[in-house]
Amino acid sequence: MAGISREARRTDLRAWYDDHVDELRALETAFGTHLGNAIRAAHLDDARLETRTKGVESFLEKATKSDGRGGFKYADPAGQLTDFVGARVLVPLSADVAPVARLVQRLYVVEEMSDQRADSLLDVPGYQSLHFLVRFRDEDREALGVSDRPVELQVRSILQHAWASLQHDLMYKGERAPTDSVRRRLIALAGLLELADHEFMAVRLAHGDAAGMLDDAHAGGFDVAGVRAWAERLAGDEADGEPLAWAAALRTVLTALGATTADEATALLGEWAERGPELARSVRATRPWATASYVVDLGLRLALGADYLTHREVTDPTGVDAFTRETDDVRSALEGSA
Amino acid sequence: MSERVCVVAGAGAWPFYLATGAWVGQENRRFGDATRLGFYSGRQVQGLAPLIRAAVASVPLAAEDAATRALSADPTERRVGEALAAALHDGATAARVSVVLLSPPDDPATASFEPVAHEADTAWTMFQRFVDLDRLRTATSTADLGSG
Repeated sequence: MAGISREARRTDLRAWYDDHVDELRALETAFGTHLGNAIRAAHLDDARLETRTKGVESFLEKATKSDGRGGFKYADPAGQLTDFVGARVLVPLSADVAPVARLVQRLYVVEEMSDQRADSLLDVPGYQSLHFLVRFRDEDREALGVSDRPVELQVRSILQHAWASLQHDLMYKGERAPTDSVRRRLIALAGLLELADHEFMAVRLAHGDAAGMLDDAHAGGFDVAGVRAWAERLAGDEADGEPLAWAAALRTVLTALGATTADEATALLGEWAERGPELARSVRATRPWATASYVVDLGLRLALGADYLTHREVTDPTGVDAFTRETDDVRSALEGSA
Repeated sequence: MSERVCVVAGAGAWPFYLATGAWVGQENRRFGDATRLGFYSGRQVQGLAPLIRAAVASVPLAAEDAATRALSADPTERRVGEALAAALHDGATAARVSVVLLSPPDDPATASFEPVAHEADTAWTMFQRFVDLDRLRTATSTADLGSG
């Protein structure tokens, strides 16, 4: 790669950037307004949104990266790069990431989603963040009059962000590579911040708030509180009797089963939707602790049979046997009490 | 060689096992080389020694953990969650506990024998003691169990 060709490329790309920067900034503004409004409407008041359009120097540096073989890493950087417009949502704690993620999935076409927590070594503390590559839905794009370029979006907690920022500066912006000792101390700090995150969640719970249960009204009323009300109604229980944690767990189950509204969830239960109080009485004869959400989950197991396991990605024979044994036992108990 | 049984003390452990098929107690509790648990309460070693099927050394005793695990699709996780939920329902208050999943009372894998009475004035154990299963099967009183 001759120096002159790199310079020539920079000149061409700079001209392209100058021609398109208004379009990129318009996309940034539209995305920021659109997602910001949705976050406010969902009452995710503690979530903080930041957006940016890639600067020209940052673009030129990336667009003229070498491939190590005398060519350029990106043959068509204007078409290949996906980070012209970026956004980041910072939430207080890691448990608050999920409501924002659900909102994003509902609002946009998600082309990629990568959970950097899941991809990294699970037994070593380190970088944690949820990354999306999203586009506006066609109708929104047309209404807003913006381009079809994707937007890169990160969702992470404040503590995850603090660690990632410091780590990035030390690892990539210093004049020399960090020593093993420095890397070790960074990893230790990640562990410390993860513990702090857990402790903050414990404090929040102790204070009476529910971790991971920010008001996600965008769920059309079938948020955690909505799931609890639905489950308690089905089981014939009084309202607000079970801890919200049970409804949160049931909501996760329902999502895995493809139900995001009360009607969809009721449909999954089939005839068991009418037999909730009967099922609750039978189960509580031997499991007096059984909450409404537990009873409803059992109803879903009975109603869906093997499909329940398929949706929840259980394939090993031990899991299938245990499931069959349990549902058979519940049916027998119901018949015995009939 | 006879199987080793770790006989745990505690008035609540025995009914809890009968109700749930599990033992929930002190975090990081060690059971040595025992493959079974026994229960000492009411001045006798109770007449069942279930197999230890799975053990979780340390888990938060909280509604969040109970709920998430009890609604898990994994059968072991589900049983751990159910045991936590039962412990919470019974009023247990430790921050973290150990959970041991056992063969249920009516499971053929659960060894049964005549309850072994304890006749001395002092408790046979206030924590846990190890005995051979064969000895439990033949003993008529804890004096026949020796020192373990």
